[in-house]
Amino acid sequence: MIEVHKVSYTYRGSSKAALQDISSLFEPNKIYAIVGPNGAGKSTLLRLLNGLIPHFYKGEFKGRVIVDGIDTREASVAELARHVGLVFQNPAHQIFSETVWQEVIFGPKNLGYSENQILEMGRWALEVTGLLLYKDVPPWTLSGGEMKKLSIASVISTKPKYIAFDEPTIGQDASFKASFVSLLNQLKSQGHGIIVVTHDIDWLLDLKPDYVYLMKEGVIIASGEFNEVLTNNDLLRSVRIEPPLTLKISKLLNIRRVMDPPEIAEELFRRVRG
Amino acid sequence: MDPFAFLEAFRPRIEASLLSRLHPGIRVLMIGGLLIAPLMFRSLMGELLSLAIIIPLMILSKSIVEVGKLIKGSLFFLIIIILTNYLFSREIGFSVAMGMRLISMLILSAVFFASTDATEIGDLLGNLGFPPYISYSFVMALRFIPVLAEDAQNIIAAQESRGLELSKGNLLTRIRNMIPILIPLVILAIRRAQQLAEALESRAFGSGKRTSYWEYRISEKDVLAVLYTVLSLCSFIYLKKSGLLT
Repeated sequence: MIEVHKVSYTYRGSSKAALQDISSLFEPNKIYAIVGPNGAGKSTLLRLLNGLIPHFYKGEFKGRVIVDGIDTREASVAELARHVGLVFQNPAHQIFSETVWQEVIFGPKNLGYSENQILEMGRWALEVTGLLLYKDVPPWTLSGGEMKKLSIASVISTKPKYIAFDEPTIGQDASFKASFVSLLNQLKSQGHGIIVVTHDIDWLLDLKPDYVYLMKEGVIIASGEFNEVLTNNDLLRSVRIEPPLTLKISKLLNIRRVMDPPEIAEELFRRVRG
Repeated sequence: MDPFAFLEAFRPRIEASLLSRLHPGIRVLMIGGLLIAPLMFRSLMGELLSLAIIIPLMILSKSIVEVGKLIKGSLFFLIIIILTNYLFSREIGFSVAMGMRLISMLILSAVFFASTDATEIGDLLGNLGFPPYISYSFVMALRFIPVLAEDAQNIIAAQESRGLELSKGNLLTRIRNMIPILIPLVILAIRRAQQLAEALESRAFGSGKRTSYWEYRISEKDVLAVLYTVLSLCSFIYLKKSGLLT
């Protein structure tokens, strides 16, 4: 598991703390969502998990982060990459290879896996992301959604136990979002711990994460089960997130969880009938 | 490790300082003029004197921290310059002087970026009669240095997260490890340039004569700056002619 113990962090050159006394826990086989407005510290929290903070981003770091028993201060980012994969927001920040295949096996090669293992890992990553057909294609010819999938494939190819995603749905269409929900559930069922940073609440309602951390100004202001946190209108508004329509209707119907549109229709039909 | 951290020194960070309040033309003339000083000598004493006239500019532009970062980031080149010069000349004094020449140039470039807004350079070039597409290319090149530095930082973070180790291995390995950083960086820069060109054209850039919002006037401070530059250069020319610092 990943344990974040009372971490405070201030970026170098900044007078304001990006994270203040944060504690959280991430386990395998679960999907976690970190939700909050811009500047809440969500991406900073992700950078703690694979050691980019404090190794790469220098600043004032207090507290400790333990990944499967390893203190992130004592292991390099490359060593931690075996445990935690981080998918960045912009795929263009990592894609450089001549073919999709070369891009996907970059991580396993860096980590020194054998040829057979690399072959197996690369193939698995392309299969689960649906990119196997594009194996020999230059990455720059892919569409935006496919590029995003490639950036995901090139991180999960190292089969890290935990996979963190920074705003994965930004600029993506409905079809990508739907396929991404199934991909995350598939990864979860294979034993991976999934951590998603987002402020796309509508998409989160489709994902139905196991646990939610709500952040504001570098502090976790609420955490709990999906239905517990995301059904609290006041809490959502306090972090400048407009509650989704399905949640508003669920509230109007006095139902203490977020209903899907078909469930709402069924409930309305039931009430009108009798 | 971020090998591009020294680019931070080129981030336009215009703080109100005596130097930033000068007429941009005078400022460029002053920095350009004083850049000649370290190039005039080949001796340690000459380079020391050049540094002595350049350091007040660093203090006046409040760029001491930036200069520190720039020198730290250029340490590798500095050592290479000193070693190469020593290899060919076998004179330690001359080799160190060449290193100091680079330091003077680094200080002046940091001073320039700490006191000059890219728009001022664009306006200045426009006033000198350069067509807008040339002056704007210059302005954009300056403006995008910090953006590129930020891109570089994100790319390095992304590649290190996939197990790339930039600070391990011999020189050849380290150079090879830069490929996953440089390719996305160049592609991003080209794409950004293309998007920027489209955005400029869609806002009628290049359709006719442009006007300027700012008006620059020469003040007493500018006269003093010119005097400082001319007097420094004249004394240096005298010292060189008289052979005192060779």
